[in-house]
Amino acid sequence: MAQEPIRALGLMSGGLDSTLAAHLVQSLGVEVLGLHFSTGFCVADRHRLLGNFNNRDKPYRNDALHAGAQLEVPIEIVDIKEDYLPEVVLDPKYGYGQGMNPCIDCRIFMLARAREMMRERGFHFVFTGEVLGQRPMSQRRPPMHTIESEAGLVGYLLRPLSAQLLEPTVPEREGWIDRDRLFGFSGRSRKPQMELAERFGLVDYPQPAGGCCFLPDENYARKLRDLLAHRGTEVDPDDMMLLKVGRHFRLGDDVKIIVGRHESENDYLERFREGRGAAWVEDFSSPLTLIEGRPSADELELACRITARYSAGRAEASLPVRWNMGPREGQLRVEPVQEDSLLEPLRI
Amino acid sequence: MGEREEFRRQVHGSRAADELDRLADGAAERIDALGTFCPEPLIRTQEAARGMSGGQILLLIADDAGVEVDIPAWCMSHGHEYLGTLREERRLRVLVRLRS
Repeated sequence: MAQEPIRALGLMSGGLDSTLAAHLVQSLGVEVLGLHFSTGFCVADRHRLLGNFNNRDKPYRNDALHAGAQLEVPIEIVDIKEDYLPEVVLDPKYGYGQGMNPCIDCRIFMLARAREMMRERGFHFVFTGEVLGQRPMSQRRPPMHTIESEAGLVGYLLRPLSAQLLEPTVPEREGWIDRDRLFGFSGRSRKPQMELAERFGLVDYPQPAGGCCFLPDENYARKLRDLLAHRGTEVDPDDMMLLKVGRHFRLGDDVKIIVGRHESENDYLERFREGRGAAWVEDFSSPLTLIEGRPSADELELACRITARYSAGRAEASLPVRWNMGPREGQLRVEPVQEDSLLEPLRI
Repeated sequence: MGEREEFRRQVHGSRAADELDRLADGAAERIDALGTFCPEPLIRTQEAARGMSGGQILLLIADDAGVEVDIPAWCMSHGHEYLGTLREERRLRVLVRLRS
């Protein structure tokens, strides 16, 4: 009778480490399914929404899918956006990194989901491409233990790139995986991984440490902190999407505007007009400005003046700016804001 | 078929537009993902594929240009056959035959 195949779930970002881990585990005779978690904070998703092309004039790709194609490992996209925001981003038990990146809670959340899938679908273990000591927040020994334990995966979480530096896991102890063929990588250098990629014949992978998540980005984090300070936890995934584009200005405690920087950002912002006000200049090339909150007349006028400043008519003494706030709409002739001293304190 | 040629077929599809048109008309599942962006078209595609049988054809309609690179990769990783893409300005119709 044929022996039951050993099956593992791998967390796949599509970066070098997770690609190497999947290739390694697969090469040891394990059937692999790659899980790619969609959090709503992916940098490539923003490029796709903006219709941007990369420096090879191609649309930005989903790296996990391309790693899967290269390795012939099936990839499943797991949409976690709805729960990820309230459960991970807004209230992380283990806090944030340098930006608003709750890396430890993020790993726990994803691995706990993987554990559920492992049990429901009869997989034997879970693996990741984590390397001991590579990232300051989540890839040190103590947090790695915490992550494993809180995700409910004690003994069932294999980190094949650093396995020889870690306690043997169930897959190693049971002989499902030959521990001697795993690695003992540690530290921040990517050189060993790049050498291993060459040995494996993997040539098409994203630049190591490129990062796909907005949350560690200081610009994004500043806007997110501002939003949380003014709206508390009353935010949704659309609010997160809007933090990825445009110039953001806070005009009042509950009033914020987002000014498109170019046509593709205007198109992006256009998708989020429902439930928000807008302003734009009709007679010149103009940004679309989204207005959030309930502006006073002075605040709405200032939104129109800022919109005029970023239009092609900024040198005019005054400009007519169209605006709407729900059912109310009109046109206001305003002077484009000229003084940086007025604008900069408002910029988020 | 040579290895390289087979690879190109997997990545780019190999069907003529009129054949793709015919296949689109007979698709067992039609997914409208217009106005959605990565990863939503992929999520809808994988959901639809779960309810389909091997050999059936799935038609994805999308305007996220990235589906033209992601769907062939998804097909390669799952062993499905990427049949090709019909382009009508920004609207893309992508055809996949599920593996048997």
